[in-house]
Amino acid sequence: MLDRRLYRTAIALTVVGIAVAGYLVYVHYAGIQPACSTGGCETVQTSEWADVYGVPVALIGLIGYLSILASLLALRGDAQLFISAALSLVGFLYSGYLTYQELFTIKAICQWCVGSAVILTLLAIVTLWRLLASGGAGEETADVG
Amino acid sequence: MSTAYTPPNPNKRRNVMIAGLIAVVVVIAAILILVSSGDNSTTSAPATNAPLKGVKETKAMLDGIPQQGNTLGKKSAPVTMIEYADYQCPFCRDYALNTMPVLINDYVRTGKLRMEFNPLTFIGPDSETAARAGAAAGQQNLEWNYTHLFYFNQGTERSGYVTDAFINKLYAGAGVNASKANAYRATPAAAVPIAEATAGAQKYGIDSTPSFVVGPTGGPYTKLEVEISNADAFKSAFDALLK
Repeated sequence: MLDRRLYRTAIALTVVGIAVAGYLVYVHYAGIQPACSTGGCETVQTSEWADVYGVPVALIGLIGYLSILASLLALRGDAQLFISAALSLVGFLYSGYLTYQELFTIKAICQWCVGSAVILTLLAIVTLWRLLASGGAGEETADVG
Repeated sequence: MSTAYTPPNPNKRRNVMIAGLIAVVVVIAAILILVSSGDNSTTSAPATNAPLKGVKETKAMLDGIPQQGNTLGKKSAPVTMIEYADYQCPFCRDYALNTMPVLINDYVRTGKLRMEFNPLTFIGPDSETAARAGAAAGQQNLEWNYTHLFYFNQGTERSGYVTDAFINKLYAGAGVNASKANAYRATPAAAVPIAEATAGAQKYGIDSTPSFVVGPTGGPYTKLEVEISNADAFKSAFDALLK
């Protein structure tokens, strides 16, 4: 019951993450400014942390969210638990690093980026919770000889 | 004596897998962080990789002032100053960043003066690329935002730093629709302002940048002989025309 709830929460968070990252990818390639109430979006978007070897961070985020969704929908059992947790934790650590750069190096805040960081934090908590709560149910047990 | 087989503890095995997963996660995140720090990139010109400077300052200087193409200020302004500048020229940068903001604040924002920017391209191909991109920004009435950001982020003359990536960063900072502007700057129309600037420079005997002509809006204009760092000298010339 708990797992079902956590699973649905993870799916919902991932869908919201896809919407946020998808929007940022769209504004990047359309060459328009994102709707920004913090005033720092263009500063963040044009900083050296906005892309990795020319690949926009927003696109990396979108691919990450799609991978998490795919792992939740297409995999079963431990494979689903481990891979969704691994992807979410990578996203959480990376977005944490980017948020740190926003706050202390760029000194500008992009609300969409912070929103994505919050989603990834929640996703990491939910997927890790599922993994730890599953307690190895369904694992193969060895026969006693 | 019998030997009993002890099966592996499933919980222990699982804990090892979780520990392994966390180790892999930390390694992947560390790699992502290292490659995105920007310090290890050697493929792009430094000016392209550097964070964009002057976004806030440019917005603060220009927000609320009307722009049309290469002009800044109200159409009804009684005095017009036409600038001839090269995007690569360091003196043009010095004027733009140090003297011009004072003039914009005191005369353009108050509706007394209109400024016009004319790009010359004598330094090299980067100047032409920059000027064409400026004309494209002018189509969206954001040429002054683009130009000011360009000066904030100006690189070394003739180093080839005016790349598509550099221009796209400026466009993003200036709020220019990059896909539209990039399409426009490839057209012959984007070179027209350069030809007009060159003709204007010949007309007024201009042989260095930045140079200025000033007069009542609509002309006639005369060459302004002032020290570019001396805002008061510019102001005196404007005040004389405003009397």
